[in-house]
Amino acid sequence: MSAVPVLDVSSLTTVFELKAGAARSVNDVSFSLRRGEILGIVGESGSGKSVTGLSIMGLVAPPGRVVSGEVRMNGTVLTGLDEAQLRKKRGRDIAMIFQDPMTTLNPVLTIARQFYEVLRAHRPVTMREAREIAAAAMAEVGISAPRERLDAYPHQLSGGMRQRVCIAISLVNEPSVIIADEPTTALDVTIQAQILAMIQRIVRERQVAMIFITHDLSVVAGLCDRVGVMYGGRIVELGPVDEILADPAHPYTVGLLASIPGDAPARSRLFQIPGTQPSPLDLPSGCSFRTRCTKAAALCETAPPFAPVADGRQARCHFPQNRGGHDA
Amino acid sequence: MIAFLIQRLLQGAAVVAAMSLIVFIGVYAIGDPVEILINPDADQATREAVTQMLGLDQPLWVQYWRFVQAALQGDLGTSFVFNIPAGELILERMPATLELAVTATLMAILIGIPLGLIAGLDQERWYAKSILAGSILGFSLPTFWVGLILILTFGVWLNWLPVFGRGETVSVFGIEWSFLTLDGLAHLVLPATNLALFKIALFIRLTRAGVREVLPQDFIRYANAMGIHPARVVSRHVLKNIMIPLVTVIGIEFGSVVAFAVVTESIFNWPGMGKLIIESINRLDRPVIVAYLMVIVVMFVIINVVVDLLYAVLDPRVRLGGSNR
Ligand SMILES: Nc1ncnc2c1ncn2[C@@H]1O[C@H](COP(=O)(O)OP(=O)(O)O)[C@@H](O)[C@H]1O
Ligand SMILES: [Mg+2]
Repeated sequence: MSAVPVLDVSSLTTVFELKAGAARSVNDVSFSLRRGEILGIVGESGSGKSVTGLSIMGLVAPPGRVVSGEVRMNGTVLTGLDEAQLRKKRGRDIAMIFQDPMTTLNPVLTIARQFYEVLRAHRPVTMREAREIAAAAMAEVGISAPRERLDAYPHQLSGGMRQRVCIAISLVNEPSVIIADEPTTALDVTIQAQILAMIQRIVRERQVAMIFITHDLSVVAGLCDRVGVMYGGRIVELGPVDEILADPAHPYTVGLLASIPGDAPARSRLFQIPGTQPSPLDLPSGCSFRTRCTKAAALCETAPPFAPVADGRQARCHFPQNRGGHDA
Repeated sequence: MIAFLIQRLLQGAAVVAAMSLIVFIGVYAIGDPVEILINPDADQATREAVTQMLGLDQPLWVQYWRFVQAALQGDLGTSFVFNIPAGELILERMPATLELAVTATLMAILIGIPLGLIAGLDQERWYAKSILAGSILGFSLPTFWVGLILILTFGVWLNWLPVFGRGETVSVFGIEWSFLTLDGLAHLVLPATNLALFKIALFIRLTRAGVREVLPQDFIRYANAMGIHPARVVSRHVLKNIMIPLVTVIGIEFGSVVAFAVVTESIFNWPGMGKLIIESINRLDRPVIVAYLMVIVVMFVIINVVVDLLYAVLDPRVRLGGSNR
């Protein structure tokens, strides 16, 4: 991993102007990403993970809008580009992998044609060249007999195979950043494991930077280098995966970890964080977790800063857990 | 594929057979053609002679059986009025109607689909809303009224376009065509517009609905996320998906223009099948009516097969040949 970040997100804030009010779906999100690194973004459903990904891509559609913050990629400020300039970046410098491989591919186009469409969006290429490139890309993601699949339609492939194809398509223009939004959530567990291993291998081999969005901490544990824990549109804790899993600083992370079945002693009841996640329309003032936090105090009504809690670690809490302690 | 065609051929034959019976009985039930054909002052003997000559003294089933036997040999009966084979009469008029129907359908496709795309893609803009509002007019105005307004406006007041007949025609392979001469084309404009208006409105609606359905889908979001140009997304990714439902409707609409161009052909005096059938009904020219309806049935059967084939071409998920189809 090189030290210079490929992607730098600072104070990104995205709001949906709805009839019911303004929903702050992404709120002051900052992180950076280096080559060859996988950053996990983990959080409950509705915490703003997908909107974070879309905001980085410049794909938030009205009534949503990135209201402040900056996304910088290899020195270019993406948030300052117009739509035409941004489109040239999308799919070439920064690509996305979606959750549901069943619906991500166009049902009426052959696999080869879908590669061709993505290739020719960024450089002149003939169909014949596109087929060669596609076959190689499909081989790389572990599809056997790729040439025979070129003329297949998506419905002729299994779910796992389709997600491999999606990944191959997303990678085909050799982007330096990939945002994968729950790419294995729709797949069954054995296939999920294979795809995760394949993703990890490709990130290492190609030295790309990946944001891996998931609601599943165990996936983060096996795959990611660093993790950002999202709650109510904010990243509440950010740092190396092994450190955060072993020694979480934010009470929300503590709760999340305690609610993973694998970590609970046999037969004991699973821990649940009391209450539900607040709506982005109506976030509590100050620390948005304070309404569910057992440690909440008067101070928590003022917003906590995203402060360093250890080397390379940050948390958004007035009372981060004892460093090195086990009282959580 | 072959199995599919054979299956559809058999199905089509069954439909044609069933329809022939229904049509024959239906036409048999309406009035006595002899009354209309002969001089009202004619005596009983003449009356019986004519009835016998036309075979109308036979019981219904004998008449039907004779019709079927003749029809299988390509003889759809002889017009009572013109005394020439009914099939020939219809085929002679068919090119005029087909010409009108094809022109109207092409207009509807070339105007309706692009307008529908605009209405669906930019739905919040004023022009998209205007297109949509306009399509309601196209739906609700009666064809004959629009026809008259067209004649009044472009024929009478502005005097830009002819409103009567086919104009100058050119003979190709023994068939007369209007669209090959400038005068013929001018004659084609108003009746074709008249017929196309409803279809344009229909295609606008269908295309718009298709666009609204396809746009939010993941594969369109993915195409955008991969940097594909919006125009390309529409032309390759959206259009191909919405063509599937459109093709069915285009097929059915084409059939119905051919079958029901009656009003427009009458208003514009277009010498097609529609005008022929109206005249034949007025004169109770049974063989022509039956022959016309049979031609229409066969045409619909063919259109359905063609639509199914197109379906399979457009939608890779459709498999031809299954017995469930
Ligand atoms: N198109 C939209 N319109 C209105 N609200 C939206 C839209 N997309 C997302 N949101 C809101 O933003 C919040 C975060 O959504 P999202 O990022 O999809 O969550 P997740 O973490 O499950 O991916 C949710 O509360 C959701 O209601
Ligand atoms: Mg999501």
